[in-house]
Amino acid sequence: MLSRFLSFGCTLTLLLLLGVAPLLAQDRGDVLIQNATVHTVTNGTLESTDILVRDGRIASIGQGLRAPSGVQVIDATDLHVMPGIIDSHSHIGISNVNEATRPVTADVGVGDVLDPYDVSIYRALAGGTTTAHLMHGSANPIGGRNQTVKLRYGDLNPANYRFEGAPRSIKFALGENPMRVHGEGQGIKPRTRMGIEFVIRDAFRRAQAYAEAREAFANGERPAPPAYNERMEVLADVLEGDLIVHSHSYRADGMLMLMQVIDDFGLNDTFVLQHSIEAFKIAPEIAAQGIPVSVFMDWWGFKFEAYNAAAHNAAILIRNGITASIHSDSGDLIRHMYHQASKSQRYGDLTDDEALALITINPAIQLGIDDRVGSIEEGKDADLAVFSAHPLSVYAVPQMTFVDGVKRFDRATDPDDMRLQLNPDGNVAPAYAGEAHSHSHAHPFDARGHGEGCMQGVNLFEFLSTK
Amino acid sequence: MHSLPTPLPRFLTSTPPAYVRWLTLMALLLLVPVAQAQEDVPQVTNVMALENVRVVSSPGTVSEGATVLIRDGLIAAVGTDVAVPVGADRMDGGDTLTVYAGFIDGLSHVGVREAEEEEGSVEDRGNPPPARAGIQPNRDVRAFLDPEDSAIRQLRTQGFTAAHVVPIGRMLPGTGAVVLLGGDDPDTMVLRGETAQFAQIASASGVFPSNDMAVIAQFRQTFREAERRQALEEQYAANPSGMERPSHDPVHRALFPVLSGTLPMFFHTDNALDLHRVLALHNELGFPLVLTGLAQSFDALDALRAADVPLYLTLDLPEAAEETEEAPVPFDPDLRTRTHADVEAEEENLKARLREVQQQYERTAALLHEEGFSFAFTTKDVAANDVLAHIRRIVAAGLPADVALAALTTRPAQRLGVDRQVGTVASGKVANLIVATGDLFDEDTDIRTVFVDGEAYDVTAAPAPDAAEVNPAGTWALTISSPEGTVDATVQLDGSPEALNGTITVEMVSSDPTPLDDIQIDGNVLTFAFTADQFGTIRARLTLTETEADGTLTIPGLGGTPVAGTRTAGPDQSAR
Repeated sequence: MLSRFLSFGCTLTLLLLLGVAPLLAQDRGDVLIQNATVHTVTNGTLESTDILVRDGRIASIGQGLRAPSGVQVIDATDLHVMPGIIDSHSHIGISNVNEATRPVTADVGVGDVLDPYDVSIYRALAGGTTTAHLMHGSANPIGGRNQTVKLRYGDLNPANYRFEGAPRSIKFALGENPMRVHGEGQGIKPRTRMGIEFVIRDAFRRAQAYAEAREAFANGERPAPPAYNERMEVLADVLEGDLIVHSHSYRADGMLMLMQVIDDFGLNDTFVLQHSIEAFKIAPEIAAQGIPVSVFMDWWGFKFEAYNAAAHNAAILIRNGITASIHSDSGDLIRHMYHQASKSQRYGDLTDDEALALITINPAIQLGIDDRVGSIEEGKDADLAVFSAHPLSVYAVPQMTFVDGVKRFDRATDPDDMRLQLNPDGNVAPAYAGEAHSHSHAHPFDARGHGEGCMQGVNLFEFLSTK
Repeated sequence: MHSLPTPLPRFLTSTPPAYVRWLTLMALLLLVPVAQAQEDVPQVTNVMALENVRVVSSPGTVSEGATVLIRDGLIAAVGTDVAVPVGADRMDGGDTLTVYAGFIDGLSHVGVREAEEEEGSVEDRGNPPPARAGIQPNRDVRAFLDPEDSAIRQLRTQGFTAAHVVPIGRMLPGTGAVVLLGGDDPDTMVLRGETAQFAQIASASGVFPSNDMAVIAQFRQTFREAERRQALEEQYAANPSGMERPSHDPVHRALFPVLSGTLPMFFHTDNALDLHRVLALHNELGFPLVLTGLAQSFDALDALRAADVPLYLTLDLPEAAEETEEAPVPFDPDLRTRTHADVEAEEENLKARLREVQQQYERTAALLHEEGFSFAFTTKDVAANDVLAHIRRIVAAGLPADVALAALTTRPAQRLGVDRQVGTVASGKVANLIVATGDLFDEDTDIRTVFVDGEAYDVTAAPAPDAAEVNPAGTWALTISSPEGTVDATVQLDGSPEALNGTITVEMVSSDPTPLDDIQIDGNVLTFAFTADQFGTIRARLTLTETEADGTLTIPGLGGTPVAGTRTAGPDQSAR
């Protein structure tokens, strides 16, 4: 391997050798973090504690742990360790966000277009984020499938980003976006909020009929299988509870409508509300139905249905016993999730563990991956974020981020240029101006380069129609 | 590797080979009165001898001072003791001219005209007709051959005599054919048809599938439904009694040979992401796969090795890195700048990395070879006139010349099932030859003549432009199309056709006019380039009439996007 690389005689090879190759060769790491303040989230805060990581898992947590030979030791005296942050709503690291040509696109999935080259992934790691739920956009009442990924930046194979064993999930969307794209834009259903309910119920009923026809053929009750329909195949799986429905929603009436539909089809256990700016108004109803909710901390007012907001939303949901989380929906905020969580203490007086849970164990529960991540416990994945101070302090600066025990971010040693590719026909100006993302697959009319980091990965046409 | 079906003997194919044409002509000569024949029929000589030439008959096999005898479109003899018949045309190589087998392009659209696109509104853009969605596996490139395509001449000047061509389209454009790059009759161009089903991750415009994600979903849908229909048809063929007759469906039916594993899918990829996506589809759907394009494959060697499929590497390259007098400072991957005072060092380092990445693309072929991959080449994404220069850069970057020659001759011939007809300089083969002034991979060598099907094409004298000349000066209102929508742009050109200057203003991208570089008009073909910070150098190629423009914008890493428009003013600046 080494001689092969050296034979290239090319400096770039040196980059691969020094920077990327070790990550590729070892995607489950071993490390001993010593003498840290450990925020387990599920088991309180442990002072002067060691974490031993073996083969990408947390092997033991305690004091005076010894590193087996060859295992790197990190002195974390005065440093704080928390579980890797989980963002339950993101659009980084994917080539496409919306397929907006029809109101039901269950057949498409962003997992098919993962983009490991997106430098936003590295920036997220630099904010302590290790897992993200990459979502289809909100153009359609029933959008495409989402993909839960680990941020294994440095690995060039998109398949290696998938969170192994994470439940499949699908995007639904209520309110203005689907009404505007399809109703106003194309003159088809849904033109109204009533229309959205119709489109969803109609799609569910068609999927039921499709599944019945498939079943009838299997039982020998019909001579031929129904015409293959990828969309109906996926929706039939949704009705079986194989996919978690994550629905974009703003207004309380829309949420209540969809909660009724979900209840009618027996899907309460595989349903999460997203954005949900008015969730605080109907917290008891949401709690009664046992629906988890993922919200913006304090981002609102960007359209009419997003005005009736409260920064106390997350805290109110928590106080009502709802599994609530805070998400970024942005390539910028995903770097500051710990700041977002800390605001729930200013607006709602959440405890440290409750605030940290908003960006760790709670989103893990919502994504069905809480057996693997979301807290610092023996046996869980060694996804860890190391901070210079308490992560809920405004003075905290992320120092190192581990995914499966592999250090993917290190503030002290990472070089300037962490891009994994660059456009050979490009010039250096974009990187120089802070626009470091490679454009080899960007769209000519992409909103990037106009100073809006939060639009990263979202092209202008898509963005205008779907935010 | 999925071997192609054995080609039919020539006399069984629908294509009249060259010798049949000659026989027909001879018959006519015999039937008409001699005097009249001398007046009306031009004197033809069907024997040509290339004497005192160096012959590279196949990669690594060279004979000096040899003679190549061409008769009736075929190579009649090759060797040092070939008797040249009386009356033969003779070309004396003076022991320096070198004869190679003509190059074979593994995949391109050369000589293929674009079908008229279905225009107008679609009733349901989420469920458009298959043709509008780009699902056209039932098309055959032989219906779209155009011997007049200027790219045929251009590619011939680069040494190419045959090409595997596929229809122009979107995700499933149709089946390909191997054609000869000469002659004036579409039917006689065809060497072999139904070579492959062409595929690419290419979205439709404004209808489903409008992006890569949806194209991948549509491949699943189309293949699964084709599987269902194939099973039904087989069931019906076995016993139709009491069974509802399966409806005829040409689109899905065209994929049956792919599902059966007898027709390969030539799947084109533009970059490493494409490559992973196509391999994922291949693993999921199991079609026989041939990968083409493969730019950036240096990032996906493990995946390529695991796939173990035939490869056709693109001859597209980034612009060559600027040559500097001093050895350039190498990229320092560990550089950390911490103050504003270091910004210059950072910028220099970024430039160094860019230069090395450009070199990395040039080295891709050499790397694949060193890593044990066997590949042929495709010109699909390259401007035809640049191809030979790119081949030379690839060889200069480390690909052994013999391997390059094999990748341009014997390998594609064998893989495309035409190796008994073309690919080497050997007696009995079609006379597809390159006559060069020396080593083809040396940048000082000129190609003197190219023979296709025995017909000599002089390379040094390019034919006059066949279209009327247009003075492009004035103002053009253009519309740039993309799967997500359109953007308007205005091009302002001033000066004479010999010395043009101008600007472009692209709505939403820039409000200020951007200066144009490399503005050239060749007959009615206008080309220019401009630089956009986010994308690098964007190149335009427009075919003009006095009032209309139509062509493509080539955006680095993205490929071509259609652009069309009308003239709103000029050449005399008067508004129209």
